[in-house]
Amino acid sequence: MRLWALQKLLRLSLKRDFSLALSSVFGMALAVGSLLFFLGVGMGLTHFIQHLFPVDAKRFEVKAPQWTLGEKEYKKLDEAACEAFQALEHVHTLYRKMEVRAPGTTRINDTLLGMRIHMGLEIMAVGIEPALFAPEVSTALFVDEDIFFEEKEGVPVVLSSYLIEVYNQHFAPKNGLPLLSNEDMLKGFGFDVVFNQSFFAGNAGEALAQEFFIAGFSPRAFLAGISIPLESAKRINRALGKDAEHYSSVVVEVTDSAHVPKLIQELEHMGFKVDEGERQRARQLGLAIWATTGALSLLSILIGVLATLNIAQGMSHSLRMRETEFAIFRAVGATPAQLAWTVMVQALILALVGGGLGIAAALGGGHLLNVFLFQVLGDIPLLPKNLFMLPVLGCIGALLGAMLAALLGVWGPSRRLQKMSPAEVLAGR
Amino acid sequence: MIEVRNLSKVFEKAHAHAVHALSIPSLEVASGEFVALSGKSGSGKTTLLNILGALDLCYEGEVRIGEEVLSKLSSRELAHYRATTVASVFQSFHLIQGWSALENVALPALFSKAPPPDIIPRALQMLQAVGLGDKAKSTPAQLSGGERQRMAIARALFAGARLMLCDEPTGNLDAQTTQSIVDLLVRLNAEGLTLVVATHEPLLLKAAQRHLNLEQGRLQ
Repeated sequence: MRLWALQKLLRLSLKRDFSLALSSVFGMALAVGSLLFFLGVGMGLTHFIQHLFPVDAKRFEVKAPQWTLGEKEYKKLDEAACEAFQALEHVHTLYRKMEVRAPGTTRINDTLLGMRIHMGLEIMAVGIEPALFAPEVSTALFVDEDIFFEEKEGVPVVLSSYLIEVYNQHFAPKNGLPLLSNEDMLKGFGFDVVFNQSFFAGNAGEALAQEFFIAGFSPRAFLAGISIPLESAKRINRALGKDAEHYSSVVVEVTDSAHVPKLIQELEHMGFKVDEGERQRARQLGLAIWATTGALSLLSILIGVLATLNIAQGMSHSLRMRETEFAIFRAVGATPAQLAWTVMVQALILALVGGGLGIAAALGGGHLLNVFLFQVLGDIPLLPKNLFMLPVLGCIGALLGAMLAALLGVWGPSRRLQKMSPAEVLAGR
Repeated sequence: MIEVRNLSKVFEKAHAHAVHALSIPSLEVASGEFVALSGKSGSGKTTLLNILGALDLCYEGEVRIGEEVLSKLSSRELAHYRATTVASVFQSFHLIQGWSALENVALPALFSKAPPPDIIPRALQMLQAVGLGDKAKSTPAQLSGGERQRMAIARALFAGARLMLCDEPTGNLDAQTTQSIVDLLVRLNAEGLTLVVATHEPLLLKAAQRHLNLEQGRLQ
């Protein structure tokens, strides 16, 4: 059938059953719109949670328990323990961490981003094996040496990349400071830290000064302080007369995430504590989000089923009402397949229009949600700019789903149309 | 043109005896002939026209139209036959409401695999041929009964059919309009169109070259 002929017949159908077309389009738009909106919000929230609690499926952190019940000896996270970990099956790499076991302070009196800064800060430092920060920070740069970097000399420091977000989103706008468009703007910034010194607790012993400079940023860096090379932490602890043999924690990387539960069990059996706080929080939040999204999506699918039934029932009624017209078409030369094709194309167009409107409504709803977030909840730190993430593939999938549902809806009516006897219909039997 | 052999049609009714609607051992209509079919209501006139027009396919026997045996044609071939060889005109016109006369007349072009390149001029020409040249934009609701029947005849002529089957074409018309439709059919027949007309109208019975009477599905 030629396109102009199809257009002509579709215009006639629309003229005959405008209310059916309207209700079909509305039903499809509601189903597709609500489904995509809930999916978009679910994906946006999941992305946000993953951003806040980045969980590497292959890594988990082991800590020595602070105290144990019913055991004579404390489990210590020393090199022997690390060797035992490394010997376990499926363990790929270990990343050791050691806190600098004394408080430190810094007084910054320098020019940063064209502004003169005078301030004092309490600093906590954690030594971390350099490989944990690859590829954000080169392992060649992150070493326990006084390095000359952009005319500064000192030990390299890695800061948490969330600090940049908090600074850009909240600190800088509130204090009239320039925004950091690029992490590189802070690289090379140097500062001195005096250990064994605290603004709150006073001096705990002989002070030790150390020069540092910012070498880079990583989401795996210590959020509440500075991350320094593991060897630097050991050296500083030794110089301060503190424990430089036992690690604060060890990040275990396994060959396959499927082995994580079994390894956690083994390590707990060995008397170590696996820090699953963030893992569990991320997992629970993710599950809660997807359970809610799933329930709402099911509701949308139910709306879709109702929309399909509406199309089926409406089309069936329409075809019965227009039976004589279709019989006339058959009498002047239409094949049953041509009539069925016309009905199916009509349903597809209704689904496309309804689906398109649904996508537009979902995008509009997502935009309104983002506007609401910014205007009402704008001051919450680390709040994402976009809480609605709708991939193009999702839209295409929903549109294809709507078209499939519409085709299913008209399958029965179009079959009946094909089997219709024009002689009986035209004779009014 | 038409050859019917041992044609039989039975209506099966639930909880009732089967009704023998047609039983015609033999019928021939020559090309260019004008045949009138008469008979009481329920005598099988419409059933015979529906079978000849390939609108009813449930029958026994052989119906040959030209070279084609209808029962041997596929669904697509039957549609092609209805579009090009035969044209049906009904008592209640069966026009598409809301469409103009021009659109109604050109309706067969919508389903044709190879519609004529000059659809609009051809439809206009058909309307002029039935005396509706000035009513091309009128819808069926704006036309009289006679004009609607002319429009239906123009539609039947559009695809260039050689055989026209008319079921009570003047059944809903007044005497004056009836005369004009009879004149039109006689003219079309004179131009070479084969006509089989089911009718009670004396004017049509008189105008026909042959008169067949059906009684309880049998030719008398």
